[in-house]
Amino acid sequence: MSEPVYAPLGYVAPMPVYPKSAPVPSRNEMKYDFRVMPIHDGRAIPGGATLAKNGFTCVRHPMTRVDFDAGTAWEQRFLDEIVDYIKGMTGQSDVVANHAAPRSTRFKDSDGTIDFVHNDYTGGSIGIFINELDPARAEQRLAKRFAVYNIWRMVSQPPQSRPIALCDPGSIRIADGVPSQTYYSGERYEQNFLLRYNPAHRWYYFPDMTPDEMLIWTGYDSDPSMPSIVPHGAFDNPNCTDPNAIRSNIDTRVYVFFDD
Amino acid sequence: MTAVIGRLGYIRPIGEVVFSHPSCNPELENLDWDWRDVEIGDARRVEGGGCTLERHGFTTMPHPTAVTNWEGTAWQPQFEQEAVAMVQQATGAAKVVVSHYSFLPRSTRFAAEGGPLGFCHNDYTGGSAARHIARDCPELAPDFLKKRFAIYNLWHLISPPPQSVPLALCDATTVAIADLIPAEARAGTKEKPFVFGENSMFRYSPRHRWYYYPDLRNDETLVWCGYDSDPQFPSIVPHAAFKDPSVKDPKAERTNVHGAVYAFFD
Repeated sequence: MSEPVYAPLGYVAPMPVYPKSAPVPSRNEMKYDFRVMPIHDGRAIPGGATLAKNGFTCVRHPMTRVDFDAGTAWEQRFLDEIVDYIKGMTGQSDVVANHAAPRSTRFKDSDGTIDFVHNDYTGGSIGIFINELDPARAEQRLAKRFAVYNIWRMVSQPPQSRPIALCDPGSIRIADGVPSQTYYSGERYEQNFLLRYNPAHRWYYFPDMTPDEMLIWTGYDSDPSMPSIVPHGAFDNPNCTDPNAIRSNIDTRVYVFFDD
Repeated sequence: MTAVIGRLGYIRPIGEVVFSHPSCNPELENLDWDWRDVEIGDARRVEGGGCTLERHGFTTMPHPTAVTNWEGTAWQPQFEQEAVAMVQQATGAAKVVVSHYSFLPRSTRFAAEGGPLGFCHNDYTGGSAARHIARDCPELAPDFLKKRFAIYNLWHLISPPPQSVPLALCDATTVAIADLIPAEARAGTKEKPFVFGENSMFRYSPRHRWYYYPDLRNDETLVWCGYDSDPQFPSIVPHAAFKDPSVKDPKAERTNVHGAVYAFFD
């Protein structure tokens, strides 16, 4: 097993008020508790990281090239390619991806990298997101197994100055999760999980990701035998010494409604 | 190990913010129930001297109370004094304070409000525990946040055993973060509800290990950890009342007093 890297991760400190976590600094009302943690090489996990075992995986899946500087024409094709992959991976047909967010260390403010450790959903807000996809079908979709996968793809070439660290959900004590209101747009906030520091947490990252790879983690799975809720946050990569290195990526979420 | 099968009130995620009400009145809640029959083991027979705060998040403590008359509220100061001393001694906390809503009676004799709570829940989340303390103890905030703090729930029987509707407690280390459903704890009426906190509700998982204390005595107090800011202690212990099928008298009363204390550590 290769040596871990050590970097500060943005945990939340105990707060006397309800935290608000926002990628927009002016809307962020959380008290940070940065902690230097060992972050292990996800590629070195024996047998490879899998969704069933670890709650995250990194797969080879070449995509059509995306250029952030050439408008938004890439978005639909990008989502279609991912939906096709997830359909094949799960064997399901009711698969929905409704939004792709470009992020880059080149961008300022809201589209920059997110340093607070969080999971986009809690067991309390997942149903609200599914209801929003299609209110008419929500009750039926919530009655069977459903899952949401976060997808993370590089647009820039390695190395990455600010990779993403993922926390093994099996290493989390339930009291470590701090429900927070996270900012979406307008005045809209929805509940996500921030994370309190616990030395038991096991962190991983995938070094030198390429645009031919796709990182997948389980934001929520209604099947309790599948690990889900994978807190994640960006960190400064101490192994990246190239001063011109950037990190440009696309971040999306895919909802899967299982038939069985 | 002996175990009984009890029916516990889990819930499922829904398309709106989940809320519960201490009356368990379905008109004041929006819970999507998922009732499950689960095995509930005898906590006293768990290897290593029974369940402990350090390993499971709950235990019983000897508590021969001096209170003899439980009518009205005159018993509260004496009971609270005993509760504070007991928790302080057992945990080594530097300071222990009784929470705002403590201590109150609950009984199978009471209808609706004050009856046994059938839903699996914990009174706090990893976020709301600190907010409850900050609200109840403004003189300690925000300094208490810098050191270890914990909330212990106390449950003391005043009716004699057996109990037809005992309390089941879940080993907090068997609960996954995705099993927890943060929910609004509401009080008030349907027309005028108010939110007094954020609690944890739970979805079913076959991994949960449940325990109870059969024939809880009047000279002991059941204590579980509602929240502990020290990550090495299990906390947010799910609990729910259930009908004990091994109790022959289905009308055997269960009357207890319960409440919570805040513990502050140096």
